[in-house]
Amino acid sequence: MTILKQAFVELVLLTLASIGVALAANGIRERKSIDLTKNYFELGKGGSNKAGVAPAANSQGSAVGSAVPQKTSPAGQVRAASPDMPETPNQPLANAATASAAPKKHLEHDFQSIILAEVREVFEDPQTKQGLNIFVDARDEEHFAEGHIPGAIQCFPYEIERCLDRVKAAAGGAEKVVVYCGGGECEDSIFMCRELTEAGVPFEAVYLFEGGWKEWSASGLPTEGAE
Amino acid sequence: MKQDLATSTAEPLGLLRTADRTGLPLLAIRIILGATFIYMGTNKLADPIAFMKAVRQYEMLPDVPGIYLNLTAVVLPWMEVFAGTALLLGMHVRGAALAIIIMLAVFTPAVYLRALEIQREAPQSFFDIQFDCGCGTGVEVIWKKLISNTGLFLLALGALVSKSRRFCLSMFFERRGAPTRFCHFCGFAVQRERAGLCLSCATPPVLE
Repeated sequence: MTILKQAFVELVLLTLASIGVALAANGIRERKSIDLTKNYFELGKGGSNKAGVAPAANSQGSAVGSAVPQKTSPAGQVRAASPDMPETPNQPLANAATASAAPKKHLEHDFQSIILAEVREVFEDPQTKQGLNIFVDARDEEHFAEGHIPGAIQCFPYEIERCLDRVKAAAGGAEKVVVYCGGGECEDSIFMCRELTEAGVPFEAVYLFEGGWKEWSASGLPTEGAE
Repeated sequence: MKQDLATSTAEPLGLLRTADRTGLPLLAIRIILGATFIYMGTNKLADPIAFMKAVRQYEMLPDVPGIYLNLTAVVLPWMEVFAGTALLLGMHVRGAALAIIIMLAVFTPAVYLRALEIQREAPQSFFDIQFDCGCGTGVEVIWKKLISNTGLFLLALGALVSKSRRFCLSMFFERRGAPTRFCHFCGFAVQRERAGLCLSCATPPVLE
């Protein structure tokens, strides 16, 4: 009993010290600090707030508002629908499912989904070079530096204050704002879409590329960065 | 506590007690647990947002309001670093051990349940399941992680019940100003001594 009592008292001391230092360190760190009161995983406009939805339900939900039908694999992976597109090989996707072995647990959302074939069309559209279509990479700076879609603007939704003005300025007159992240189980692009719509970017202009960097890089399309 | 230590010297010494008296088992436990938790804690501190997302996958805390998830992601890595440091230094050993026991008791079943969920969603052998459990060590083979966590849990239990304070910094502070004299070898309170050592250390074997 004495042991437990002593342990409990010491545990309280350690906990208080940890909380104090943690809050102080979180407050002064320049990057990747966490805003304690922010609901990072809440979907405002453009989506319900139901987490942990089965992949199939998610992909159906995400099709709302999309003008182009899309194929979805049983694993919930959005695939290229166009026959002339180099469809993402099955192997990397299968590997992704077993290597990380964590099936997608996407939030249910109503953002317009866009598939690889359409993303390529947007990418090759002459208007893109004029800045009328933009790509937003919702991964962190490290992953962005390793490789990204050419011309994409990096903006991590958890550090939105660092880049929102830049993205808003670019998205101001854009017809299409294609948002992507790592692909697979990554949900950062969904939260980036939320940030954009909350910042005033028209909901109709925002497109979510769920296949993300994983699908883009596997398809042999142009990339920029270290890769 | 001192009374507890003092009375313990009168107890019959079993094999474990004898080993504990040397202070070496606790020292080994402190080094292993301390180094492990400092390593895992600092890895999480390097990217608290990734850790927050990892914690979220267990669905133990609500997305809204986010304060619970956010606070966990901010505090837990520091808790690990503090517990690890306390163990390495030998300060508040029992509190640090209890903190580790609680953390492992919460997260190990959570990792197991998440692995079962993954297995249910994508049928495969349990031994093939691997994912980033948010443990600070990246993508891990889960059955190995579960075994390692169980080992760490048992080590933490050992640190919790050990009565030895040899090689512990806390011994230094407890000795200062304390009316009780402590054995220089085992760190226990001295009731009777021989050649500067407590009777338990001095006999047997006789060290005179």
